[in-house]
Amino acid sequence: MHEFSIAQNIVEILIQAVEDNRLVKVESITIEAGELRQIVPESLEMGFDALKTEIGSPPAIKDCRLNLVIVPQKVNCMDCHCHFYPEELCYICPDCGSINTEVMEGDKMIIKSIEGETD
Amino acid sequence: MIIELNQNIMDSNNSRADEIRKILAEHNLVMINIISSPGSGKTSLLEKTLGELGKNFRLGIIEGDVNTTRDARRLEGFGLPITAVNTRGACHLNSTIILKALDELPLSNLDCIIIENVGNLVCPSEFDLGEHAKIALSSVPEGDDKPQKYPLLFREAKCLILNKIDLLPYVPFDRKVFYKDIENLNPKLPLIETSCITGEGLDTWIKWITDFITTNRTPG
Repeated sequence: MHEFSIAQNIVEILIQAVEDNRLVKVESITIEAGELRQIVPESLEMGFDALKTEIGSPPAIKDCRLNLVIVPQKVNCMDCHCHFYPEELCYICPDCGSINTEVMEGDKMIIKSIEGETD
Repeated sequence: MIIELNQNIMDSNNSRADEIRKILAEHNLVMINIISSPGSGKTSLLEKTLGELGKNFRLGIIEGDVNTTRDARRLEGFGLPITAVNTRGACHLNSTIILKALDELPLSNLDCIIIENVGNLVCPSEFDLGEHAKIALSSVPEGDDKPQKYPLLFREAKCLILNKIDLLPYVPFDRKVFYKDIENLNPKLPLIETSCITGEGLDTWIKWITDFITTNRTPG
């Protein structure tokens, strides 16, 4: 259940953004989670919903919807510079067989944006 | 209106992990984080490692447990500084917990800190603790499918130990499958087979960790 800790971080960042931008209502928050992070969407949503309505949370976020976008992995071959999707979790370059590869996308968790209203 | 944030969700954990890295650098300390399922032999491996490793380095231990301090008590006999951390139900250690635990260790008198994480293959891999290396521990009775099921840990680890190899004749574990999956997932990952019962492979593991600590400390 790392989703609950992640939801806590999301709500902390959200509350900060509400203050910074003087929002009175937040409609939605969009999260991009890399596939490699193995987020269970239902668990993240459950944690987020519990925290946003918790006593002490700003009323502006209580109806905020969580949009979760799962980002597939993209790997770069540092030898032949091709980009590939690791089929069956194989990170060896399918073109040249190199093991010098790095994950470019699909390994991070980012808050992309929030949609809200000011006064 | 739409406000673009583009903020890493783990920022607060990561910035505290940066603080930890600074503290470790100031004290010329290497920190290792051992991660595995419950019951795969983290504490047993430490019991078999600390004596030998302690001959070359001054060690400190951070012992993570969801509940109880039983694991810390098992290691008390070595007479090393141990901080027992109880996560009170949480499934992982985070950088705030480690930062506090460091406060309780005599950092100036240590060369290396070993963290025994809470038994779990998913959550601990997510959290940067400022460590120099995550060590993954997998054990034969868990089955050969763990790398495929929990790829993040096996991607993040700097060394993988396959423990309880004395049980290979008794349980269905296909070594070829395990090795093939690791080769695909993380082709550069060193894999060391050990048994804490027969002692097999422990010398290879102790050599690996000795070399790792030596390489990551500034000489002198």
